[in-house]
Amino acid sequence: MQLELANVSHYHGRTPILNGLSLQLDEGEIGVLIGPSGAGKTTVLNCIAGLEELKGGTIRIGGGLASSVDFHMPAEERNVGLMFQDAALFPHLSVRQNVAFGLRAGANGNGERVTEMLRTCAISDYADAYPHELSGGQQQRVALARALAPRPRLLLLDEPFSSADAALKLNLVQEVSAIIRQEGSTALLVTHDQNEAFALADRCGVIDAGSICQWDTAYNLYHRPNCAFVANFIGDGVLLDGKLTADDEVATELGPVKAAAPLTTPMLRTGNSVKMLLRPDDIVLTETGQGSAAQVREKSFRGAEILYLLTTERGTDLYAVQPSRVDLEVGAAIAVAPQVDHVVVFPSID
Amino acid sequence: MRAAALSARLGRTAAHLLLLLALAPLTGLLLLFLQAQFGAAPWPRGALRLLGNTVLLAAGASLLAVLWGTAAAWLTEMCVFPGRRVFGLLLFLPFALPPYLQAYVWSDLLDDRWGWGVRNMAGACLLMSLALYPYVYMLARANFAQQSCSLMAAARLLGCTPWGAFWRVALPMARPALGVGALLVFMEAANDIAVAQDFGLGTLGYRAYDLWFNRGSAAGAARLSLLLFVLALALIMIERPLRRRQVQYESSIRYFCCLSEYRLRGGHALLACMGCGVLVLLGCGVPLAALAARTLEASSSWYAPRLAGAVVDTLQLVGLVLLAGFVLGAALLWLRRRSDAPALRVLCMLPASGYALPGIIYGMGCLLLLAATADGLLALSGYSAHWLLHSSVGVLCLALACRYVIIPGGALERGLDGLSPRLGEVARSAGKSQLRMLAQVWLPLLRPSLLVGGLLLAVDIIKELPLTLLLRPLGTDTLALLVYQYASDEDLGLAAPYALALTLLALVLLGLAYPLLTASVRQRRQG
Repeated sequence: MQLELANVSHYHGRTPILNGLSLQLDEGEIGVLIGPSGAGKTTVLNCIAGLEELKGGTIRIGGGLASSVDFHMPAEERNVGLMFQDAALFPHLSVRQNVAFGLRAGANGNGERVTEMLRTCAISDYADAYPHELSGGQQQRVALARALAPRPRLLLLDEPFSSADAALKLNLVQEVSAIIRQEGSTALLVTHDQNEAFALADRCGVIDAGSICQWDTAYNLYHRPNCAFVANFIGDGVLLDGKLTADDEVATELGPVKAAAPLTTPMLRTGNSVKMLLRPDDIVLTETGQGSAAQVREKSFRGAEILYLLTTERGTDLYAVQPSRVDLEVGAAIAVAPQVDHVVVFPSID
Repeated sequence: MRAAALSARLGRTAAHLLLLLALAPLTGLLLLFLQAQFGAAPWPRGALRLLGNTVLLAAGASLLAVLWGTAAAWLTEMCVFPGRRVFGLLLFLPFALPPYLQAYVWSDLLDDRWGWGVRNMAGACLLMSLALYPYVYMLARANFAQQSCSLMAAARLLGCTPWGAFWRVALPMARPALGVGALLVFMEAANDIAVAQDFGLGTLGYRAYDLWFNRGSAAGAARLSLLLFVLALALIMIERPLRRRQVQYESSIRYFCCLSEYRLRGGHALLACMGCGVLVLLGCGVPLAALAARTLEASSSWYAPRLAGAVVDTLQLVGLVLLAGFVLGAALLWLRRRSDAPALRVLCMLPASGYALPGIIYGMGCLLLLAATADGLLALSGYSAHWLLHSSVGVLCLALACRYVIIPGGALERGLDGLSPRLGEVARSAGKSQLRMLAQVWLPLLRPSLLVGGLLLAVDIIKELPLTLLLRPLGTDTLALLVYQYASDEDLGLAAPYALALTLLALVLLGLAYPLLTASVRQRRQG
């Protein structure tokens, strides 16, 4: 286990920021924390890096204790790299000097390591430039090279792509991912952008109000969310009211939906009211007369596909995604049916 | 519509006239140098030695000031220890004492009472640095506070100890700011006449003053002034690229927090407190106490109405200079921003260089220009206007306002730069007239920067000596003048009440300015 957080708590004054947060990362894995602003994502990284002290729980890096309530290893002794939201390059040093900053002065092989990192991160061409002469994406690559140069046990990335152009972002994400894997580093990234998270993550966690709701693969977060918050936060979709009529069947206003496996749990019995997660791709158009009647309220063109907002006869809102050759007018009356591969239900709270 | 066009034209004409006014002292300087160049008088003896002394004094003072200022700024801005906030303010307060006062008080204490010789070059450097280090301190603090804490955190994560991060990251990044601070100290020290006179140091400033005032050798004084001017010019040339780099460093900074603060505990915290305490005591505490003691000691020999009169004179002068300074500063800024002609824009920036010129030269330039104007008037109309030279507070105020125009002008400009230009567009599209926009949008938003500019200008005017000394009308006795008069006669007892009043006045103004100066930094830290 390269990184292990157990029950970590942190306060700013009296406000709890982290609240019993736990996660584990194996060596060579890339973990991603996603969450809304103010969920405590950056604080997690600061605690791991040793920039903030803990109020509860423990942090272990590479098996050794790094932080606990009464122990705090200084940041400079942790051998953890951190890539900041703003690249945080030293403005008075050239690119080469920035990359070499964390290498032990006078050690053998420093020169080669810097050259290697410059090449790996494709920044050899402006090794002698100064940070203010670089574009945002270039600065981020220098920051990555600087963080990786001392071969940290763990690399932390704090929303590293938030200032990149949307068009360049995906490229940059893939490059960074490739570099991290090439270096064989263990990395933890925080972001609020799920595309970024899904592109990078071996394991992914949704963080809300200072604790992790679900620490799982990206696939499972999307298709098997374990709570309503994760279901709402990851991907589009609505939670539709329904009732468990059998242990593998939910009755909804769109008709009965059959699940592949039993849905009942100790907390959830047949006959209980539930909320069922309905993703836009779980809705199919049917011939008029079959399925349920609905009306197109809004549409947004997304290139390859169109996302429709539909309203059923009972006034429930639904999202449906269709290939863009299916071009429906706003106001059109259509018929839809649910076709759900992964049925996910949560107990109705009200 | 026609009325608007007319008022716009009137405004432009007025601004041009004000520009001419602001340029007048510099024209006088030109006159002075022409006289020095073509005058028949030989170079005063020992000009090189005078230059050497001046550079030694100014360089020594700036070096020490950088040392005190940087250490104090680092402790109060980047470290956490008990009393840090209070020290933040206290360390700024020695700014209230002008260097000459520092020199009078300490030489009186040490030399005359205990027989420790401080009346020498080393003593002068030390005392000047005590009075002037707040320049470096405030600039360095602002710089440290603006350094993105993620940079310090990055340095720590890359294996630097807090001390290493200071040497390898914070200090190199603050170098331009420290350089600017050192230059300000250098110029102030080169500008001095009173300390050099009291300590018997032959410096260019004092010698020029002496030649002009006591020996009537205008040409000799002009030559020495030329030397001083060249020195100042050389420094400005060094400073400009420093400022440019500073801007460059600031632009790359976005993210602020308090992660990088260095918590001092136990012995370290005690040491920090003691260091700050000693600096405050030497720079402000002991001199104030000594002045208070002297005032009480000699309480029978000083004359209260005279003190009251001096305070009133000082405040009047400050009020008039503030008014003139802001009008001039606003006019120059407006003209520069509105004008398309590069030459005009350069002309609008020229008056600001007055701040870098020694007050004594500036005053001599003004006097020469006035004399030339009066001579011209006499030749033209037969009416002698030489009263202009000697009996006008107006001339003194204008000269001071022109010399210090960079303070109100700079405050205005920085304030405006901090506001989005969209604000004006928004207000205009909401149908507000120019006048209403001024009252409802610009003035409220600019108030903090205008206040800071005004307070700092006021403190500078209260402390100012050489220019006031040269241009004072008879019957105007400001606090600084009286302190100089009594103290240069080696009678600190008589000077003490005036010095105390001067210091307290400046202290109040600085105390008011301090929260405003640090407010923007604090906001950013919380954000």
